[in-house]
Amino acid sequence: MYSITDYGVMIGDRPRVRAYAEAMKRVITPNSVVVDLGAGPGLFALLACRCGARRVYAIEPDDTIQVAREIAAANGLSEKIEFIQALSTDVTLPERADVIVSDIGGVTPWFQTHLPSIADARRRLLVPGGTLIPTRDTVWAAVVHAPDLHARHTAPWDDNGFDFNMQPARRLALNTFKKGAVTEERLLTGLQRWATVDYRTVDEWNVHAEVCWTANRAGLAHGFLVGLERTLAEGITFSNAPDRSGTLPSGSIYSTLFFPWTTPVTVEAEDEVEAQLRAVLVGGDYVWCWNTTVRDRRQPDIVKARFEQSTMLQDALSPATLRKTSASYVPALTENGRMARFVLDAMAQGVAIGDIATGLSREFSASKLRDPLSYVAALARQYG
Amino acid sequence: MTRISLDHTFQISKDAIFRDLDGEAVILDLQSGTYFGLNAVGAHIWQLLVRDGALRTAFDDLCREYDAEPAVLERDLIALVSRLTEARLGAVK
Repeated sequence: MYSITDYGVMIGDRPRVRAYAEAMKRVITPNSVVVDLGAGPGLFALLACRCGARRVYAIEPDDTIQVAREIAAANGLSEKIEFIQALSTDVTLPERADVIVSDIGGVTPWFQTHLPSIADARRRLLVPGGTLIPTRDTVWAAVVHAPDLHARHTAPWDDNGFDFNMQPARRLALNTFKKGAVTEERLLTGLQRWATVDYRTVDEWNVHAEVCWTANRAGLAHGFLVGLERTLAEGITFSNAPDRSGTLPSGSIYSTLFFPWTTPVTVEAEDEVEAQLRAVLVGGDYVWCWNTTVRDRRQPDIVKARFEQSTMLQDALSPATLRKTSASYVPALTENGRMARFVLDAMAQGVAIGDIATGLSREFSASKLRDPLSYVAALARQYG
Repeated sequence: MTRISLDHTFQISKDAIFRDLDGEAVILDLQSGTYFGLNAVGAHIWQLLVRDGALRTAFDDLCREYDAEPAVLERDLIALVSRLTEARLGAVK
C-alpha cells in the first residue's frame, strides 16, 4: 500500500502524468465511459472528466479512495465519478467502459497481480474493441559498468567494519535486484529488447526469454540494467532508457532496475553475453531468475563467467520457515491461529466486534491480548 | 510409468530452483509455482544427483556415506527419485 506521500511523488512525476493526460485526451470523447483502475487519489479520473467523459468509475481497494472522493468534490466532479472501494477483480459495473486507464504495475509489467488484474478488466469491464491505456510495455536490458550499484549489494557485508566474514548475507544480497540508474557512458552493450507485453491481448502472467548482447567496448561489467518503454497510445510513449531514447528524468518513479552479477566480470569489446531472464508469478508475487553466461569473443567455447541467480535465494529463512514452504508441510494452529479462528467464526455469525472482543478476552490469556478490541477490529478491516 | 532402477539417470528440470539451508532444502518448481521440501538426507541425494544424475553413482556414494543396509538405501533413493519425478522436478532416463 502506498502512503499519501508516495502518491504525491507519482503525481509529481510530470513527464509521466503529462503523457497519460495526452493519451487520455486523444481517446476520450464526450460519450466515453472510463474506468480508472487502481485510482489512488483519483488524478486520472479527474483528467477523464476534463476530457469530457460521460461517466467515470474510479476503482481503488485502499482507503486512499476517500481522499479521491474529497478531491472530486473539491473540483465539482462528485456527480460524474463513481468511486468503488474494492479490488477490480471483485467489481461488476452497470455498463462496460470505452476506456480503461491504469498505472498499477511496477517498474516492469511483472509486478504482483498487475497482469491478471488488467486481463480480467479487459475481459469483463471493457467494451469489445475498447481502449486500454497503456497499450503495451517493451522491456529492454543492457550490460552495465556500475560499481556503485553493485556495491549497494555487497559493500555492507564486505566492509562491515569489524573484519567478520559475512558471506552468507552477501550471497542473499546478490540474489536481489534494486532500482538504480546509470548514465549512457556506463553502458557496455546496446539496449536489447527482452519482452513486450501488449495489454490488449496479454493472457500470460510469466515471462521467460533470452537476451544476447555483444559488448561494444571493454570494461568491468557488474550486471545488467532493465527498463521499459511504455506506449500509452500510438505515438505517445515514455521511456527510462539511459541513452538518447529516454524521455523520463532520472528522478522518475519509473527508475531502471539493476540486476547484479555474483562477481564483476572484465569484458572485452565484442565479448558475448547471454542472459536467461525469467519472472514467474508464485502466490501473489514474482520469483525472478537471471542466469548469465559471458563468453570470450576470440574463443566462444570458453565461458568467462556463468551465474545463476534468483530472488528465491534472497530471503533470510530459518530451517523452520523453510519447512513451512513445502507442499507436504502439515501446519497446526498456534494460539494466535486459534484466536484468529475464534474471531473469524464470530464474524461469520454476525457478532458485533465489541462482543467478539469480550468473548475473546474470556477464551484466551490476557498476556496474548493487550487490546482485544483493536485486534478484532484489525481482522474485521481485513476480512469483514 | 517407468519402473525406476539404479541403471537410470535422473535429469533435473531446468525449472527447478534448489535452496539449501543447514542441510535441509526446498525446491521451487517454476512451471507450477509449487515448493517441494527435502529433509537432510533428501537434500544430500539431490546434491548427488546434480553431479551427473546417474542413480548408481549416487547409490554407491550413499553406501559409502551411510551405515545402512544397501537394500534400504536403494529403496529410499528410488522412492525419492520417484517422488521428484512425479513432482516434475526432473525426468528419469
